[in-house]
Amino acid sequence: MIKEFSIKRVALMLIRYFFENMNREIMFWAIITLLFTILDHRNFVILVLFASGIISSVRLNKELLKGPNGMHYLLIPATHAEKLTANILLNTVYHFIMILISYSIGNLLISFIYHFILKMQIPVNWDLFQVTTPTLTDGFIQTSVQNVFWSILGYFALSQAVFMLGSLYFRQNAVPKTIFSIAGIGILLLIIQLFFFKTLWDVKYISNAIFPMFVMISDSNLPKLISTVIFSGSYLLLPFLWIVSYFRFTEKQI
Amino acid sequence: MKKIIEINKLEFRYPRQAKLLSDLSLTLKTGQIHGLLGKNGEGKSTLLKLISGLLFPIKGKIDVLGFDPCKRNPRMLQDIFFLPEEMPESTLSIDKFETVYSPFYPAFSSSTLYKYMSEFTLDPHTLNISELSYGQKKKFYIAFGLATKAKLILMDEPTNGLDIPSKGQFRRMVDSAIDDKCCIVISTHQVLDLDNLINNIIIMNDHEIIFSEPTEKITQKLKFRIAENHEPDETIIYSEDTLRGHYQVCENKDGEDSKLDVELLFNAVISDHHRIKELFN
Repeated sequence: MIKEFSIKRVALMLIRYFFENMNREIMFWAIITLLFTILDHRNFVILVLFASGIISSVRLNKELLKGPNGMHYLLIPATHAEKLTANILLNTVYHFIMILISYSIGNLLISFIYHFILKMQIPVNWDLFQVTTPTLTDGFIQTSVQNVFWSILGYFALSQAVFMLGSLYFRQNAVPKTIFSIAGIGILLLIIQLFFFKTLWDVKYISNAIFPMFVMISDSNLPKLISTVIFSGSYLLLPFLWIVSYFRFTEKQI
Repeated sequence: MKKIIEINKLEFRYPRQAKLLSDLSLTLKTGQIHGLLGKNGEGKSTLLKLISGLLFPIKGKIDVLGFDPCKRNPRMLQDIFFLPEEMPESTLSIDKFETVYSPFYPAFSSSTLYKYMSEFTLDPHTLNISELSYGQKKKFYIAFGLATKAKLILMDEPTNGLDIPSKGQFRRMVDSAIDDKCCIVISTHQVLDLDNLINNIIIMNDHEIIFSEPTEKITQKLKFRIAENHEPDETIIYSEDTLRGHYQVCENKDGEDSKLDVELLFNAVISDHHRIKELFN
């Protein structure tokens, strides 16, 4: 797999995508930019990022892995790893960057409209990745600003990886089926941990949390080894999903 | 001539369906144009998909250019071109398609593509592939496939949708594209379109390959004739009554030259393949 990997072929796969989808891409990002010009609220932008990301991730595989187009795609002389890398770059890195570009253009555009047409001053919004949290300390309200760029990128990459894998498993209605699968896995985890906590400590809940596992992860009293394993495990989830997608992709038949 | 495809005791079935191919063995060599013939649903297209690595066998082994096609190794894929019956949709113009896909094929020849396209009267600059008719699209993919200079070209019903002059052009193009390094496999029902083109005939029946012989050997062993009267003759293997007379396939005991009639041969093999097998063995 590694021996055969060629950056040149990944680049060719990317070029192929942009040539084949040029019109659709221009149209799509124009609409997104327009949306961000009208509505630039942080939560809305994040929602659009995740929703459009999921759709693009699923669409990429849905179109390619069935019918004559799927055959054509599978027979392009590139390894599965190269094709998957191109897909990951498109649905994660490229999509994320394009959302940022659209957001920036949308923001500049609305400021420009206000400034030059409506003769009003509004500041350009650059706080997409900043979360302001007010805290009460000694009777004073203090605000702390937190940069959440990496955590949003991380969650976005994870969401894309989950739905990419889902679209490789489910030929039709990949989005709802993946959501149901996640819900199913969540319920299973809940049952397992309830059983685990009940047997070990005879408790069902910690701090009234439904998922005590999450509370335990952030619990500093947890043994260092366990907390390290859980912490590293959360980072390994993303490559794990990509690897599972790779093997699923190699099994694809048309 | 080198072996290009070696299939050994292949078995295949689609999920939740009866076995489509069983105990299928076949060896194809370079420098030949193979015609893959069979009735509907015999598994011809499936066999081409298995050879190209689009489907995986449940048993048996396939070796294509020294590779296992299931791995879809790019070094194998750059030497294979598969033209399916239904062609892929593309939003690109012909010249853009060439720009995008030709770098994947190291031996690709732009001049060959344009030569074939001019033979097919396709304009590379003005046409968008999605705007082409079915037949034009087929012509383009045939031209592109031949221009890849792939060692193995698989075509599933390539002449479907081609107009009458294009069928002749197709035969000429395929004939000029073959050399001792490459092999072309054409699966078709349109046997007349392959007239004078193929030099090896493979016939599938009951999900097996029941006949695979070079045309030269076929005309040595069999005689194709039109008889006016249907006189009993033990050399007759198969006879078909038509308005022009009795089309017959006979044993060629006297070494007489006759023109191969692929359709007649197909019917003869289907009706009595044991006798033909004996004759060829």
